Amino acid sequence: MADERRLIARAQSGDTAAFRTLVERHQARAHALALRILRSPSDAEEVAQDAFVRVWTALPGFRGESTFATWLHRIVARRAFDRAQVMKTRRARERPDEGLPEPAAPAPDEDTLRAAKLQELIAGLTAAQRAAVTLFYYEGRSVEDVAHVLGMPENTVKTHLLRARAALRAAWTHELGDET
Amino acid sequence: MNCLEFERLLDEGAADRLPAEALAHARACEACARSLARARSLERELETHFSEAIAAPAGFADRVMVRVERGEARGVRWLALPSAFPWWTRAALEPGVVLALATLALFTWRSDRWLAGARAAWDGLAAAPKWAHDGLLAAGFGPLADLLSRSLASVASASPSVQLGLALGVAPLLLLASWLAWRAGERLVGAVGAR
Repeated sequence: MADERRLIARAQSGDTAAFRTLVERHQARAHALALRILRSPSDAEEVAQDAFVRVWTALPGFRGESTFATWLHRIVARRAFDRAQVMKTRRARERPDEGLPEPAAPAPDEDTLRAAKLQELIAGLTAAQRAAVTLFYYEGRSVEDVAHVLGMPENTVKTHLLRARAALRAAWTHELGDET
Repeated sequence: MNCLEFERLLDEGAADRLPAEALAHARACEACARSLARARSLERELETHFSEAIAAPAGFADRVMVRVERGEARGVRWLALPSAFPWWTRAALEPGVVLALATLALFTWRSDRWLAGARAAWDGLAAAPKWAHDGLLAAGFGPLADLLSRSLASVASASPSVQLGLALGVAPLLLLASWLAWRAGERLVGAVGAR
């Protein structure tokens, strides 16, 4: 933590090597967050890159009121959510297989099939529901935090989570109900 | 508890922390017990799904650093540096100060028109009680019009201490409105800052 604070201080004063270390430390989670919201590797990379460039720009004003990771993820989530809204129609025309990377194992066992099914169900949620579910489960954030990150009222986030769970439960029961 | 209430709890994500009443319902209702088992299975699957690590694409950090070092946002970043401007320049760039200075400049530039406008607005405001009175009379609310004009007249002719008391009564409302406007401004600035 102290090491990270030193890196941030150095990056704030313009040290690009320190900023590179920060990028290397946080790139996986930032990119994964964008990918889980957008489900398009090319858009996710662009959004994650934009977010890091934005972080570099705004870093001199970062006062450490939240952790660096929280601040970064907030920027990534906002941008990914905005992109998801803007790209809604474009993404509908994209090839259906341009989503998360396929699992490495070629022979689909039961677990793989279930994971693929869940992935498909999550893809069927609206962008707002997906963003709320992703931040809630992947980031392990509270409803209050999710609301803050997405710039929505808490009740709206609760509604998105509730509707997402209801949709997922209905589809899960329909698809895999007999096996559970 | 009925089945609908039970389903609602599951949609709220409470499958692993159901209250005793809900658990008792699940024990008594076969359909809800099945729903609970599936909801728990879904929650486990979601947790597994979201705990899977996804690596960043190869060369991601290099591509970010190319953009940073290319100086895509150098000018903007320099503006954000604490050392970019002396403190008094930064103070002068605060939105409130800019607004006040712009208002002052406009007033100085067109003070004659502003004063004439203010005078006309004041005359209109001073005539408002009479308009309200006449309007109420025309609408057939004579007693209400009399009450209104007597109240306004009594406020205008009241002692300074009564007027001060009334002003103090209104002041919290004005303060609340100002605070709400301030908070809205802060939220707006925060939202723009996170972009």
